Amino acid sequence: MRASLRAVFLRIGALAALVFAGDRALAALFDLGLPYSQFRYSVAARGGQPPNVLVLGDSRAVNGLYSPELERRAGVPVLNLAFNAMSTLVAEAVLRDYLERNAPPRIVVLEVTNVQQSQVLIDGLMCYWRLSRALAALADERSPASRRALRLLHTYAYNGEIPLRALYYARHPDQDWINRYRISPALLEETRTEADFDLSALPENLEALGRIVALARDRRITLRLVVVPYLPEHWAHARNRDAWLAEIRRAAGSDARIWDYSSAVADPAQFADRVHLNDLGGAPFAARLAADGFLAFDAASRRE
Amino acid sequence: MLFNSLAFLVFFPLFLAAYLASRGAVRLWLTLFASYFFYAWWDWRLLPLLWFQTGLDFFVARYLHRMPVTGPRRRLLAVSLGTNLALLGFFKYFHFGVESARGLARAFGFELPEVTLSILLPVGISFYTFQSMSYVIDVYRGEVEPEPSLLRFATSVALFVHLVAGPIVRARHLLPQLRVDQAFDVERATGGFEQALWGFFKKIAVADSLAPLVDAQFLSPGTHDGMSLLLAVYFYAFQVYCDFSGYTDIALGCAKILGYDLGVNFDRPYFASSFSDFWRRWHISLSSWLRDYLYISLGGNRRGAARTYVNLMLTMLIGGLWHGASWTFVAWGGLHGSYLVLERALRPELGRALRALRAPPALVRGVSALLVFHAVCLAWIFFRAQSFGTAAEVIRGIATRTELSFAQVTNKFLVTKAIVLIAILVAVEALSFRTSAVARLRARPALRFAAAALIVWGIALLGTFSGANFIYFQF
Repeated sequence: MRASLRAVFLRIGALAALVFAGDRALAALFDLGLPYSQFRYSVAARGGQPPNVLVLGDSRAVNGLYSPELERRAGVPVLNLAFNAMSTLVAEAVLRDYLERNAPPRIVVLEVTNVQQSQVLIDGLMCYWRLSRALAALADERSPASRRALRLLHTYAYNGEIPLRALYYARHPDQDWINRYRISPALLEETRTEADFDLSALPENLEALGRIVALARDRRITLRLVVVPYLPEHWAHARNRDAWLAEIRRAAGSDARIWDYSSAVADPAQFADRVHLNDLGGAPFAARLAADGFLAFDAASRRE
Repeated sequence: MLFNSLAFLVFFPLFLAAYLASRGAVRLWLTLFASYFFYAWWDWRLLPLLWFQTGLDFFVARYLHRMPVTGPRRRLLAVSLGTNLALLGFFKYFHFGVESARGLARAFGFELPEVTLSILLPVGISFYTFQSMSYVIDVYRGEVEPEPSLLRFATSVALFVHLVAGPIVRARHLLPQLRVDQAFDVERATGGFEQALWGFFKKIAVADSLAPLVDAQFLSPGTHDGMSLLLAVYFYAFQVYCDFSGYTDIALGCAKILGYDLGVNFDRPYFASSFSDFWRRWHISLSSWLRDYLYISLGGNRRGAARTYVNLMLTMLIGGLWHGASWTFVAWGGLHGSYLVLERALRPELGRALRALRAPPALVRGVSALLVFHAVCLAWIFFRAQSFGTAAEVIRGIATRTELSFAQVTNKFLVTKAIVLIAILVAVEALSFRTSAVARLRARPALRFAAAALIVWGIALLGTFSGANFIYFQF
């Protein structure tokens, strides 16, 4: 029995050592490659970006603020750092980290309907915690379990969709994302008869919104708070939409303007689903923004 | 307690240390208490039900053995089976029965009152009820001597590795192993550890990564394109397989570490080249239970072709209902029953046609496996769907809205990851048919270590740590 147990402990020890060594080696290899990817957060973490238009928000900003078209209209580089499920709190951390390593943007565009989002993206961005002070601080506060898991296995940082995207976009940029399909007739029909619903805002996101406004003011960066279009049939069922927008306005402060385009696109063909524009809608919407002066920036910010 | 929880990762080593340090009755008591603790972690209020069924079947079996007269024996058996089935029926099928009766009455123009009870479904009830019933039937048939020790019998029913989601281990298989102190064997324990690790990979990396992709499509199939729905059906086939066989691998692996052999429950079912072959490979402990205690009891294939078909169909319909209190499960069983009946009826003609074609056997096997897999996938739609309406919408969507394009498929990165994971699984299973290669791998400790380490890194990199329940817990 004693010999058996010794053999067991030896095997467990050998396996643990192999797992540990391989984990550290593999993670070190990934760590080495990550900053060289063309994926949006690698670009931001690498630093050295020129003054540009920086876009933040959730999937509505990913699809509603189509970078190539905005870039054409603005005449300056556009970097879309929005991502699916990005809350305002995470957007704030991403912005702070961005400002540490890059030139201040001429315009920061924040799609503010992400006040609804939970903080799931903190874990999603795990592989960037090492490179981003504000994100890491947020993770310390909000994701202690993942922090502990990372101490055990460094490769765990590369678990999830974002590392896969970083790998896929290793050699080509990711700024052309947009939904390239139309809303299905069934979903459109279902939307017309869907039940009324209430929109919500998380207090921590509203507080983060206030801090983003203050940060932009301090750094003399033009900040555009925007609501990109919703499918009108869906938006009509949001019972508290006016009160909700008023709540966001209050959180942003009395002097911050919210560019409300929630009902600006009426054609369902320009939507991929209830809340996302598609490629047919993205380009005309960018044109509309440019025509409205949304992409005009202060001369003061240009100097920085 | 879930196998894929931190609690279990603490529980099992602690239990193992105490288990190895103990002997005889102390070890049995320890195992029994640990098993009840494992069960009570989920909900302690349903432990008395487990105790009641265990006690009932233990004493019924003892009396059955002593009774020489056929009539009273049969009545006693009926009491045991009736009580077990009544409990299973009440806890699992009460609302289903009421709703079905109301639906039937409504079809004839009557309105029955609505009856709703707040019933908690005891986890694992279908598994331990079937296990306990098989023991009583075996004693009744004279195939097994009744177990004299209540402690040992209770441990065999409640052993935590198989208690909540199988495999359904027959008393005749487990009780002899509990009669002796299983010596700790390093090689067997290493094999068990490897099997459990592979089970964790199947559950955490494959099944839980596929789950959200499947859920999204089955939630509102009418709003998705055909290609997304088709992928969701394929993904579900692998989700349910990896979820359940992953659980089984962890259970069997842990049992091996403790020194018990609980048999084989899955044997690469998607490589099956016929429907009967599929059922020899899928959830073997249930299919063999249904064969031995239901199909054969109904007469099996001994009463002519027509009766064989009826028996097959009945067995599969009941097997479907065993999985859950819904007509969609019955439809799933019915589809599999139809497949088995058709296969049996057409087997001679098919054999002649294939011989006439002179196709290479490997090609025939490959094409057959593909056909069987797709028919099984069709049945999975009913298994997964919440209603017939949803199932019909999925089938309609695939039939009418499928283009050979992935343009409308959302979450492409997660879909790609899912396809890669399935490819890994299929490759590993295909390689496992090469027994000489497997033997060579097993003979080289360095390769085994590397394989185990690869699995750990695979889980860390590709796992989905949602703490999701195992699908078969609900059954």
